Amino acid sequence: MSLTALHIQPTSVTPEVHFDASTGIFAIKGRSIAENAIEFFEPVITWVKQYSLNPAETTTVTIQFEYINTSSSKSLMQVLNALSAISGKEVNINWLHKAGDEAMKEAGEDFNTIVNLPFHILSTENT
Amino acid sequence: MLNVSLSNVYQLYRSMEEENVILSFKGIITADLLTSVLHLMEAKMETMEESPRTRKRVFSVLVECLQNIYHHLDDNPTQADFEAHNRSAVVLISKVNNQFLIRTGNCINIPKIMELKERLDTINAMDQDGLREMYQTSLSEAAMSPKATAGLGMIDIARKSGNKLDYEFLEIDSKMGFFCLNILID
Repeated sequence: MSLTALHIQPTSVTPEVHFDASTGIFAIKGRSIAENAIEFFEPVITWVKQYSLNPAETTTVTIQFEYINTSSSKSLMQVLNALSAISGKEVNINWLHKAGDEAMKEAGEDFNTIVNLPFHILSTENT
Repeated sequence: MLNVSLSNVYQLYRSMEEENVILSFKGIITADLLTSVLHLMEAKMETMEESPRTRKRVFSVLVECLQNIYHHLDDNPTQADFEAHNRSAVVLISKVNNQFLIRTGNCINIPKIMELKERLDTINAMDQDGLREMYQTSLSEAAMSPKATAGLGMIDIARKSGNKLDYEFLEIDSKMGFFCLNILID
């Protein structure tokens, strides 16, 4: 049984989510500042846990936030923990932040310190 | 007739003008209102000549301040002590000597004060490196806990503002206190 891809459209307070189980290409992008971020992330966490039982050879997660609040950070931590439970397969995290966005760069460094996954913190062109 | 003179509104206006208040709100913070205040502040800052760095810092601190108040009220949904008038909060954003100041005030049950005070003092005793470590530890722990965010918000506010959390607790009556928080943003 293959897992259906997870697509969530962005709002002004929640990010865009595109997780494709068949290719292992995951992207989460935008703002995550909802006061009920925990509810927003619940289906995402459930999906990733399901995915981790039968993952692709390589999973590449691209994370690009403009803003992330602390309750979203807690939930993102759970998403990353579920991914770090995958064994015998490759999982990479690309954390993108705008050039000069110290806060989002720091947020990436925080996760890199506490999550047991290879993190690549990359700056994108400032537009 | 209410015993309120019309000129009171002018007094209020004058004092807010003198304090350079950019945005103020007093009332019950609901989820919708919280989002509206954030959008409003974001739009206001876009018209001001602030660096993207300052705008982001102010916005992030405001997000956590409002959500702290919102979730604090959420913790006390049915308590008789927390009647409607005790559920409202005040938020003032102003610009003082080229720095943004966010001031919030909300009611708090007296028994909860000690715990909050200890947490604030612990945060205030840390430098930036200490705050980073404390945040990272709390974030790993929070992911394991069903509780909301285990105080991550206050640590984040201290980190992003670059200043100490200036606070005061006032006693309203034997059960209820008032929590004032001033955040100056670097």
